Amino acid sequence: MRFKKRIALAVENILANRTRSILTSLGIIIGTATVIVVIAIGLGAQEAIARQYSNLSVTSIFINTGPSVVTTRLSAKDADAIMEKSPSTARVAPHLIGRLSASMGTVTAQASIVGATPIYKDVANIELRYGRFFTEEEVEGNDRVVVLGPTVTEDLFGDSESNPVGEFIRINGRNFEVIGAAKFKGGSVGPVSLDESIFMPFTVAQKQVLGASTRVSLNADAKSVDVVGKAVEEITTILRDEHRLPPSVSDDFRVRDMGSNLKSAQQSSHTMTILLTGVAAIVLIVSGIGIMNIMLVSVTERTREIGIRKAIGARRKDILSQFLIEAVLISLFGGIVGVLIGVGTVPLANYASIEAIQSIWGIVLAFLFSILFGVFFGYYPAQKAAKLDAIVALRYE
Amino acid sequence: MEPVIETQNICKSYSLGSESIPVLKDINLTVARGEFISLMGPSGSGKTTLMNIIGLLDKSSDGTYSLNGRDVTDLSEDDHAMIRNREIGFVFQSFNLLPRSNVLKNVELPLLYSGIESSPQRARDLLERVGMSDRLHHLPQELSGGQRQRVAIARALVNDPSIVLADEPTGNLDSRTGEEIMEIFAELNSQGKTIIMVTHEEEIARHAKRTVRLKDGSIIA
Repeated sequence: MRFKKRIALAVENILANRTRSILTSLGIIIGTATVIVVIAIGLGAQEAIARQYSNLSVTSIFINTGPSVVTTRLSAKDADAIMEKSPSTARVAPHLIGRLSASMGTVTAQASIVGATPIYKDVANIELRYGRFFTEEEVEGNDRVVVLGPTVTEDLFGDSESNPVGEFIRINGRNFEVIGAAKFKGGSVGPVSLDESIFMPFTVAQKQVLGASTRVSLNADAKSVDVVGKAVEEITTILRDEHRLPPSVSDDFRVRDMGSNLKSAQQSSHTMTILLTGVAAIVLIVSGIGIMNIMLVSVTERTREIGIRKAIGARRKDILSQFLIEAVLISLFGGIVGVLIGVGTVPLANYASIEAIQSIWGIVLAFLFSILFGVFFGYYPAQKAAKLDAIVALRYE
Repeated sequence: MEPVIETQNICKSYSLGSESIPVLKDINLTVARGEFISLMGPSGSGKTTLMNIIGLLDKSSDGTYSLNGRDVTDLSEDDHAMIRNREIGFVFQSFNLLPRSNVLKNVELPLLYSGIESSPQRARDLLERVGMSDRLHHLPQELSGGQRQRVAIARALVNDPSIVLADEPTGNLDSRTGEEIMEIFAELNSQGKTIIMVTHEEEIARHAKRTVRLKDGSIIA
């Protein structure tokens, strides 16, 4: 029998039982669409995490003043002590952050003021479009110089790409010279968006802008991924020592390494993806069982037809392929409709502010699985039909 | 001339638990080309079982069966299917047409499995021969019993088989329609087809040239 005729025969049978065929493919439609949406959401979650942590390498370590009763604030001195005594730490950048308004002529903008040391540029991966970052000398000299994030540049100068170097802006009633402008980065370090920040020397920020009561944080970098744990231990020991904490007193600071944060975030997104994929797989399996169930009913209903076909010369493989092709066509139809629905749902998910990213391989995977399930679950009923005894089948009422 | 059908000591028994119930005992039947045979006997005599064995729908328990000079006793199920398709045309008491296919599709059905590209004209010609050419696109349920049996006969002939096996072909028809069907068989036979027909009606059996009588699994005449 020609392949084209086989397909035509299967289509004929499917159309003869339209309602049942559609009900059968419904499971596949839902399964395929679910897989596509789940993969898109999984990818979206991974992308969101990647973006959130894009400024941080896995060697980053954050040190904050902790919630202890006996509190010695972190200071630039602590940063020096860590640099001096911790062999596993590559660099330490003390900084303090506050939110203030800055103005340029009559234009005013809200910005995060980040008081930092020159090394902060490397720790936070700041890239400059114009000018330069401030130097150690400027920090020591209490120089009133600032580097602007692109959003601040845009707010004050109208365009994020205009060159503000050499201009003066006012913060807290004082004039500051703009010496640099950063490129767009996206993402943030802790709660601070770098794009919305104004960077200035640590000393100036502490003494003239934010005030001495503003808490200092330290951003450190371990020398490599392997020694992050060691660096955390060393930093803890050094800071306890510096703050003269007796063993009975708990830490008055908090040390978190970004690597483990990133890892746990990635892990939870991975877990979520696996969970959702599991749900989608179950939906597909259930829909496959649905196919099997309805095919079995169909085989029983068509027992006499199978008997007639066998009597006039259909071989086992003719009957097998007839039912198998029907199952595959139904799954194919379900797969195509499922892909359309899935592809249509992903933008809806985005609209409902669930981050979801469409991927070709997600679509291909969902589609292939739907066909695979059609073959897999269609095989048993098809084989049952092929094995029917012609005489028994002919007598079936 | 070589016989179309030759059975030697065909036996068939069914096992019922530990007991073996014989249905056919040492059947020796030779059918020459062009014969028209009626197979008669009371119910339970084994005539349908013999028909199924001759039609390769069933296998004998013992003995040999040659069709067109070829020993087909031990061929595989699929080989039997191919022989049924090309060498044997079946006509059943209950017509056995596919209810969801029209008349033309039903007649073309054996061509679907024959693997050889046959001209679609053949089915139409045969339907014309049985007087059904004006009903090509009707469904079986829209036809009378006699019309359905004509369609079934056309289907049986579409691959030009060497024998036609008819199992009570008039059993579901009134006597006048039955006569019409028998006329078609007679005409086919006069054109050279070998026909074996199971029946329990004497007046139907009279249309055949030879009558083989079975009783309790043995040929008695």
